Amino acid sequence: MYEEWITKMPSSRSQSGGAVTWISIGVLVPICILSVLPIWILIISSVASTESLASFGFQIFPSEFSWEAYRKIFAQPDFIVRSYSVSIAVTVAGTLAGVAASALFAYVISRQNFGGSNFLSFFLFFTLLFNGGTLSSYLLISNFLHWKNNLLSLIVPLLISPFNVLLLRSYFRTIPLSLIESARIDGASEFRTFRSIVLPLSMPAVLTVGLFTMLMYWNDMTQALLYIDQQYLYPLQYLLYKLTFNQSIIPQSGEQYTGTIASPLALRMGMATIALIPIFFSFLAVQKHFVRGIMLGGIKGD
Amino acid sequence: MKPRKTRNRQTTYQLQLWLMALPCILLVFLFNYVPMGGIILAFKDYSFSDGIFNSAWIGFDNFKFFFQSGVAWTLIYNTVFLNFLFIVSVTFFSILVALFLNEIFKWRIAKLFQSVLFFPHFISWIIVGYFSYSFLNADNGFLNVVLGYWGLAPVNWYASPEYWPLIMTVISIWKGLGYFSIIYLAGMVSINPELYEAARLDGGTKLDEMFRITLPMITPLIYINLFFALGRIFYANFDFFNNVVKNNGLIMSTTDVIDTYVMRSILVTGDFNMAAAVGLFQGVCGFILIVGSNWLVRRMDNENALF
Amino acid sequence: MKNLLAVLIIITFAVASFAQSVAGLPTIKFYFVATNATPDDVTLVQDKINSLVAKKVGANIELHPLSFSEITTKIPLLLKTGDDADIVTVSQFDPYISLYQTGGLLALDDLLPKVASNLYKLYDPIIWNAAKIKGRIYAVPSYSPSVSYPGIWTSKARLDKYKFDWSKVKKWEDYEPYFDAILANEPGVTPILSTDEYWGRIWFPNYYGFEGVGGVKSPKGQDLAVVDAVKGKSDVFAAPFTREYEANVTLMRKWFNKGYVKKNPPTEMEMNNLRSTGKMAAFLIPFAGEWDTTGMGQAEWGGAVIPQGKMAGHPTIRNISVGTGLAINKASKNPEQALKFIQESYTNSDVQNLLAWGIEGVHWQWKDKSKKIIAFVDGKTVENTGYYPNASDQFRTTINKLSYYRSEGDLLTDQRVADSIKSNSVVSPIFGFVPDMASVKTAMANVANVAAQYGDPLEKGLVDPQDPKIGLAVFRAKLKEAGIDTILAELQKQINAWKAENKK
Repeated sequence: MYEEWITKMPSSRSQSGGAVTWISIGVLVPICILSVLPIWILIISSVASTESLASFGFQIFPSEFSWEAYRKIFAQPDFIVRSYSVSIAVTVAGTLAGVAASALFAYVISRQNFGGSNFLSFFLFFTLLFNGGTLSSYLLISNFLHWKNNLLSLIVPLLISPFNVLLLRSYFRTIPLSLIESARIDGASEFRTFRSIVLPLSMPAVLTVGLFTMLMYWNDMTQALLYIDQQYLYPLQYLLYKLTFNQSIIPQSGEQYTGTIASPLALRMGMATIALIPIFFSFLAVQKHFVRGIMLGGIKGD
Repeated sequence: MKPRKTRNRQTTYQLQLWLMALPCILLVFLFNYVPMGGIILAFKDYSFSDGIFNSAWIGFDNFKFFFQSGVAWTLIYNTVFLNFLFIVSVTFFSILVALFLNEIFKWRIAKLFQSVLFFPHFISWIIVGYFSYSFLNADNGFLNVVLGYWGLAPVNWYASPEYWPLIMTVISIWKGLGYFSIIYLAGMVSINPELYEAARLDGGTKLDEMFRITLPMITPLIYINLFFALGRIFYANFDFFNNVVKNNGLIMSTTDVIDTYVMRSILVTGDFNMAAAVGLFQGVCGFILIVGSNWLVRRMDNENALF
Repeated sequence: MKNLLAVLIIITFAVASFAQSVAGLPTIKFYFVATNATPDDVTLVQDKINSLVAKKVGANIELHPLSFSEITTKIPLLLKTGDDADIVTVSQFDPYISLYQTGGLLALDDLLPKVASNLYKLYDPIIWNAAKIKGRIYAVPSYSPSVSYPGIWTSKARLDKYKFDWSKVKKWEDYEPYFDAILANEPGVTPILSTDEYWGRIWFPNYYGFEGVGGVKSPKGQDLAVVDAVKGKSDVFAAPFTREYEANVTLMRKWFNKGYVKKNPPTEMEMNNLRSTGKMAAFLIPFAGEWDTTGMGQAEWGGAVIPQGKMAGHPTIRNISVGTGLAINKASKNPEQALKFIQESYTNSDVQNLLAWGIEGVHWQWKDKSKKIIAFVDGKTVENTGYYPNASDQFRTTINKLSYYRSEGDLLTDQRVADSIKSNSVVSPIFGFVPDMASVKTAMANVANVAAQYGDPLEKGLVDPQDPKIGLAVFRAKLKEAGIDTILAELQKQINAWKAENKK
């Protein structure tokens, strides 16, 4: 639909700079190895036996393996499944709503001729500096809104991140003014301009912010800690945190305590691994759309 | 006739914009500004039965533990200095990495690199703590083993405060590289390729491209990142310090920051108002810094000012 | 058609008779701590309790078990914001004083004799006095006498291997032959357990017969303001300035240099790993007791048998403080019913055991009914039995002996505690005293941080006490700067006033 105003053309970066390319690869490969190694160790440690962890610490390839950690975590699988779906629901809803609201707002404050852009930027940024504390937020959400044990408490308070909004503002400001003017001449409303011109041109930025928002929701644990008591509403991260925490409290349970003990360390790693899986997949999905700049046809002499 | 029509149209557009911004404004107002009333607790002795507004006013009492501690200056210095090191080095390296990624972007492998670089971001600070311990500990830590291979004497890292600003910075870079380089890369990738064509036609080198086109185009992003870092420069990343430095008294002279000192005080006294008080102080400092730097930026480069 | 109707009516009545709540009664919410509590099982337990006592109490109970991970955050928040909760648990995770300071606890003095006289009569006045803060009672304490001795937890197998008799040990140095043997014969094993938090120290006040007052310490340390309880004196002093403390940290440093502890203490998780695989041999503790260690051995020591290695000649100091108990939220709309329920928990065997263990046949079965010993239902373990709070202390006091026992060992514990108290204990000179530290909170915060920076490393042997920059002398100077004298003066003032009032 936006083809009226812009045309996609194959990106054509230069063919020169062979040396620079090799330097780039030369620098990036070691850095990537350093980034991958800890994740690998994390995942593999979740299947390492207690003995090997105790004797040799973290190894790239453990001397002994054990599925105990996962056996412990999945002892009650219906909980894990349930919390997975809670987390997915919260993340999807939060990301869509959050990115939508943030992008709209960012567009508004990116418009140079908008009277309130400085004021609203300040309005947003100020919240980064001052914080009322957990107590006030709790009073608001629990006593005033009555959102305890309600998924809304996990989603709504976190929708807007000032950092993401201001990032989007910067990205939006790079859109050439002439494009927006041309849309205006055609009689488009501000919303139309946003939806049809600015948004498509800013896909990498919006996807980045979407990714960050998604990660934030997926990893968040504090909201659940404060506002959710009912087990069937626990998001994944919180359930896993609770599981590991319980393991480290002295059971003092007498002779009936049966079964082998999973290494608490392996348990922690297992918990981290499980939480990571959806992130990897969605990351790959987002990557597909992270494409090089769209050529602007029809606009010359900018 | 025409001016009035244009003025009406202008107002319509302004109205449309305000409408579009409304959801966000309401959300921020409700969830960020309304609870800000809690800041008043910094000056009160809160008791539930009295509620927020009727609890006793005790003036600056809640601030005393911090400013009379004898280490306030050290804590502030550590917090600000370390944050400064972190943001400068992370920004520098992530721009560098983004430039490299930008170079090889047309190949699929770039996407792989980009994803992989992001992994450390997923690792929680607790686990970073485990890894750094296994790397640095004096009993069988990996680093000392490596030093041994090279014939160097082992170092008791957890007992040597002087190395820790460097150690913390390295960890900070490792963790933040992927996150920030994506931000810069997203900006670089959106640059109109025609600009590069033009530069090449003019006979520019790669370096010229970098400095004349790429960097200037991502300058707004750099500014945003710096502004954010500046506003939060008096706040330390509590999870980072709590899990990596832990309760290690021996390295506290260079690694103890405002937030960890306050947390310790709260744990022993049970008085949360102390956190409110120091939090207010941190916010005010950040505010002054932001207003000052915003004014400076406005004078130099109006486009990139925050507000 | 008529048959169908009849069937429907019967079904409705049948369902109604299993109805959860007795209609028309208010609901009271009970927040307590539990290891394992699936929602369905909680509902079962809750319904059973209500069917027994809801009418008597005048309200239906709603159980809200919290996990250990949430309890420190949630309960203070509930109290501070006057949220919807009636009964809350007091525990080591949410100490009594901290909960009091939220301002959210209800004073029970008037209600107790009026509404819960059985509960009130259960305890001697001296126990109720120990629960008083500023003259009023804010919680029902779970009074369960116990003993605490300095000592060692280590595997019996190792002790036997090196023929080390722990019962002969009177002072820390007496353990050295054991540690030396481990160092010599088991490379890769660290003799003494340490963590980056609490452990790896041998500074425990009770080793010297001292008793901590006021909770003056680093967040992960041991009390620094003490009275000499064994000598029966109530003068408060700061332990780091004593010769005993100096000798203690010097000894720990010597042990560090010998290699008894790791040079850099690991985190709790990593220590767990090392301990359960036998790579950390001994845990030096201030709270060796009389309870059955089978469970601990299986859970923490990889199944090893761990005796309670108490040191000889260090009497346990008897005092009363509200460590565990139940309190009522000030914002509760049904405080009388809440207190009545607490009374049921403490005085009604059925209710107490339902709360602590669950329902017979579903969550537990008899192992030995005559001795009141229970076990998990066949095929169930700790992980998949639906209801297992593992924190029965909250619901009871051991004085009236209503609770069932998990094992033979648990049954014997009470007797052993009683014997221990008779043979090796001393009554604290400040028995029942509750300090109020609010007026010295600034000094407390500063002392806590000084203790964390200088005190903890000294106590764990990580620092040479003679070191000019961070040694003992510096620690002492910093403590004075931080205002320890102010704290001591305030504590002494309060103790003297309390003594005068109680005419001791």
